Amino acid sequence: MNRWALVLKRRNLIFFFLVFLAFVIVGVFLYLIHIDPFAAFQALIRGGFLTKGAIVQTILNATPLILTAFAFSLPYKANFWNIGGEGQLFLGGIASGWAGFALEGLPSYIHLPVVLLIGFSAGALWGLIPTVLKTKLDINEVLTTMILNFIGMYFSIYLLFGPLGGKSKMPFTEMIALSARMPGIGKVHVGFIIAILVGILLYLIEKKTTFGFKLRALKSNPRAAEIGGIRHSRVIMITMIFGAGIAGFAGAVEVTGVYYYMWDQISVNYSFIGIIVAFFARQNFILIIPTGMFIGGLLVGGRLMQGLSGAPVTASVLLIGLVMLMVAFSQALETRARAETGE
Amino acid sequence: MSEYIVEMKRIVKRFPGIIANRGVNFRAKPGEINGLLGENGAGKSTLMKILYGIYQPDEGEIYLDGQRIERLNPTKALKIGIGFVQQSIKLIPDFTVAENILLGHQPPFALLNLKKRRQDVEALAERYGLNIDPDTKIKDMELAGRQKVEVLKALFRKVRILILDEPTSSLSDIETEKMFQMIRKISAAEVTIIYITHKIEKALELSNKITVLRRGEVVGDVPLSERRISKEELVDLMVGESIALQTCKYTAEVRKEKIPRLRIENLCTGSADWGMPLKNISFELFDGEILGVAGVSGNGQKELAEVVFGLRAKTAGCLSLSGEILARQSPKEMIARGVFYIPADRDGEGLLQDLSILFNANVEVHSCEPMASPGFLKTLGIRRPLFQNSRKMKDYAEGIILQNRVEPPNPLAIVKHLSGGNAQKVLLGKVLARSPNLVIVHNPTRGLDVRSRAFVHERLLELRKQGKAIILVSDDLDEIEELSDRIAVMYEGEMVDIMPCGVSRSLIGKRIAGIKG
Amino acid sequence: MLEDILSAGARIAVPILFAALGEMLIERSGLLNLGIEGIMEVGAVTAFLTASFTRSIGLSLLFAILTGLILGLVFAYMVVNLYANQVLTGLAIWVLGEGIAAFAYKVFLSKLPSITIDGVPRLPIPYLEKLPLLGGIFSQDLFLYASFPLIFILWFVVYKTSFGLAIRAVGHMPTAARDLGISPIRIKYICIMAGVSMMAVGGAYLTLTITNAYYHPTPYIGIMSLRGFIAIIIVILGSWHPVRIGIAALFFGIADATQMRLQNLYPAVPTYFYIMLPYLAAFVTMVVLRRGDKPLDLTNAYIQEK
Repeated sequence: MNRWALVLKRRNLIFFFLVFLAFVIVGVFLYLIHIDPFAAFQALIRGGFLTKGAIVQTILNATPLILTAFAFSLPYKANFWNIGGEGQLFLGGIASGWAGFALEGLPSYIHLPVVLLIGFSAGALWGLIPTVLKTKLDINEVLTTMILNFIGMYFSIYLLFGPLGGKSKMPFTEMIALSARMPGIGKVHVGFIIAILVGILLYLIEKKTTFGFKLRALKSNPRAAEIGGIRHSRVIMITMIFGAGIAGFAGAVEVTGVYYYMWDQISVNYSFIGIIVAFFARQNFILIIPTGMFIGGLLVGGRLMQGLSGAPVTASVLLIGLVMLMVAFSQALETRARAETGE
Repeated sequence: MSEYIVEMKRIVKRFPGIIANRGVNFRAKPGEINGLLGENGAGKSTLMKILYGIYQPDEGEIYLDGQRIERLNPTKALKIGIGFVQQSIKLIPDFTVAENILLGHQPPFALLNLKKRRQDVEALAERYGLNIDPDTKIKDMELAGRQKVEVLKALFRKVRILILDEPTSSLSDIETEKMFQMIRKISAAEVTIIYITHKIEKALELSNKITVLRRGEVVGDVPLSERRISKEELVDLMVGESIALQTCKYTAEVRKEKIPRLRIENLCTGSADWGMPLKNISFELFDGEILGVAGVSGNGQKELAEVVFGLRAKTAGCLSLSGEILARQSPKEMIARGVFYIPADRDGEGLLQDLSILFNANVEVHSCEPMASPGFLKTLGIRRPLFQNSRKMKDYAEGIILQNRVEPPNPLAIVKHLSGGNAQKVLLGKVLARSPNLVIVHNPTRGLDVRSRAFVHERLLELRKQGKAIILVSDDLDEIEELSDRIAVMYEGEMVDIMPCGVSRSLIGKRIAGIKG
Repeated sequence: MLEDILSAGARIAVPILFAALGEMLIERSGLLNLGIEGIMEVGAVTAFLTASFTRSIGLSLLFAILTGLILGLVFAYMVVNLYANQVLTGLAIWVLGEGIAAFAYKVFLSKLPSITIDGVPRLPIPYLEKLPLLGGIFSQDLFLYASFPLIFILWFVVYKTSFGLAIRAVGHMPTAARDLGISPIRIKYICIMAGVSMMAVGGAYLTLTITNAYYHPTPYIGIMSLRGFIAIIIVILGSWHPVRIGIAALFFGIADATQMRLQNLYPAVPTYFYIMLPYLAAFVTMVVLRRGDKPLDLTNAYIQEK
């Protein structure tokens, strides 16, 4: 068996090995600066997963990661690259933040769903722009969604400093009304459960509905699918409305569940890490959930690592970067292996 | 030194399922204009691609100036003076003429010095009677101009042998004449020309020597200075004798009382960028008949199929189905009206290679009952079928497998692991299972073994017996003759004739070659 | 104050300019590199650290380029040889670059000598520096002066040499180029190496000249503050042409400088609105221009093919 066929066969093993390698490399670096890598990793795991406070933080961080992963993955399954999640998230956040404090006198079982819906819609509308540009004018969506990220972000921040900002000159909205806040247990808000439900829903849609069928046909061979009567542009439109909407929803979740206001730090590049989560989980909606928690845990543990072991926070950034690279690398190996073996 | 500038001896080239060249001998003298004639699949393009190094021969040798040449590739071929102007233009649209010509010509860090080179290009163009502005961008030129640029590209590199693949395809008469003048001038400059064509009259006009290939073999090698040959003789050489079993049942009565299933009037399609533009296509298709569409591939057959099915937009003309005029069709609509398309490129356009037979079988029907149902949503008053019923989908797939005797009879088998014949059965079978009103098939038996081919023909005849209408587009004249009730011929984007079945193969051959009368 | 803005604006424009020119080269060969930010970050920190320890500008630049090249090689190998997904790989390089930069900084922070570095000296041009408005531009450092010839060199190479023609051909239709004896792999590697070096130098410039320091505000955003992504915008705004990119970068720099000063003077002015405008401009440009000089093959950036 030639070596590429071997690579293909053992691809899962290679994948986990590469991720493990990322840890090893970071461990080596830590060792070089006289920090015990094992202690550091222990601190990482504990800080991310094993203490009570850690789990809460991990869940809180995982939720937007999972949602933005969905936001990328759904359109990806229709051969459309939505890397505009960050902008969609911000707009969802600002829209829902506004609805949170501006709409008054509503009972919470109306206010909260309305706020979430508004966040979703803001994201969906923003996502519609690159979609139309692609389907009608054939403009590359990678560049359009990327630029729209910045426009969306800065527009939201402009609103924060301006009309929608609070009385202070800081980029915060006012606190949203009590009726617009997410219920939860302690700090863990219901958004996490919603994310899981969304994931299950998406998975079922993919496997069991006619729409899911269309997605699989389009991913396999768009031309043959068209000849079979499936319209690519229609499918892209639907995936983007929901995908971008979910990203906007993620923003709304952060506003109504974590902060109770909208501000300029609503997302620390969650959307881009969400893309990595989506690839890491091989675009499987169910797997995205534990993957999001894993990466979320690394993020949280990373922040706490310093206190617990002396390893700098930056080591965790390095780790995540290396993990990202390894994910890309293993994908690349798989693609090359497929090309070489004619699979 | 040999009197021939190039000699190809006993060339054999095999592809999976077909032998493209069977011991072909070919040679040309310096400055000679060689016409390489043949219909689809004769092996002419393959032979020239071997000469240019795109393919390696399985057997045989190539000699240039008496020297053996081995392991050729396009870059090397250019270096030793062989140029190839292919049918698909490989020019960079955003570059100018000069830039395309100069690409790869100089060592990397050389100054481009466009000004001087421009003049060189201009001088060269003038020398061969071409009217080309070196600063025009390729995307702003039409097809005729682009072909000339390709020729210029080769001439700039001082090739000694110039291969042209269908150089006058989709050119007007005036442009064709200009092209011929250019070719004569080039030949006068001691450059050997080999050009591939199916247009007999043009070939006779231009060539010093004509070589005819059929089914991979040389069937005629005629130096025109030494002996005269008529068009009819060439046609016979090109298309051979008919070995088809006539099964046509064309009767005049059948047509009169029916409204045509499909009526096309003056149909035209657009620019030559993607394929041959269609000009004024008009025909009718009746239930219970098979309309064969013959012609050398590249003359608009694929475009015709696509435009009828709605994959390609028409720019003029009128299409009516079952008496109803359709303004703009889409594949989805056509399928809903019972029109289906089985493309020639089975792997690239017809099937979802990495998915199962089950999946492929259900593509057109996946959102219809009973393959899908509203499921529990019915209780909410939603009646649209949204959930796939995998049980029913599997039954459906198994039905198709059974009906068409697909091997292996496992609905979960992945399509790319199926043999060509079985894959085609799936493709054909899933369409036939829909009881279509009109089926457009393109090259349904390409690459299939004898048994599969017979099976496919059987099913098509069955369909006709049921009173359905079929458009059979095929490169294979035997197939056309065996199955068609009427035979249409596409040439240069026009439907030049529609003949009843039973006409002589010679006549068909003449139409294919563009000979009127 | 206008003069001050022009002068500061020109300086701020330099890192973006270098990065954009580098990215232009890479994109012209048909590849999309989203990891600019990470490469610049690594260049910035390396230059800063080297300068702090060795006080040599030359060495700082050298090491910055070297570290940039390492990241560049990783990107090149994955994208060109392994047909890796360019978007994914680019983003990974970004985060990796941030991680490496922040980590390295943290590690060496304690060992740094406490004196700040001198930075690159300014060389005012006699007479010209006394010009009313534009004088500011002529009392800058070597790098800024170097950007003009750099733009010219790039323009010359891309449009006037056959190497440039080859690059452009590979960016439009690699198959056509290959048939004519050009190796797309080689061209892409060369463009990546050159482009990445420019990006690293851009990052180095920021720490050596403008800030004379290095910091990492948040774990994921370093001193570049997403200027690396701005470079991508600049490339589009400048339709892949060196001179237009230069102008676009200059405008950006001036806008940046203006915005910073205005923020101090008039806190009420909606600064982020103005920050948003260049992106909007780039977006509109992209929609309207559609092709311009854009390398045709760039749209296949994320579809693996050979």
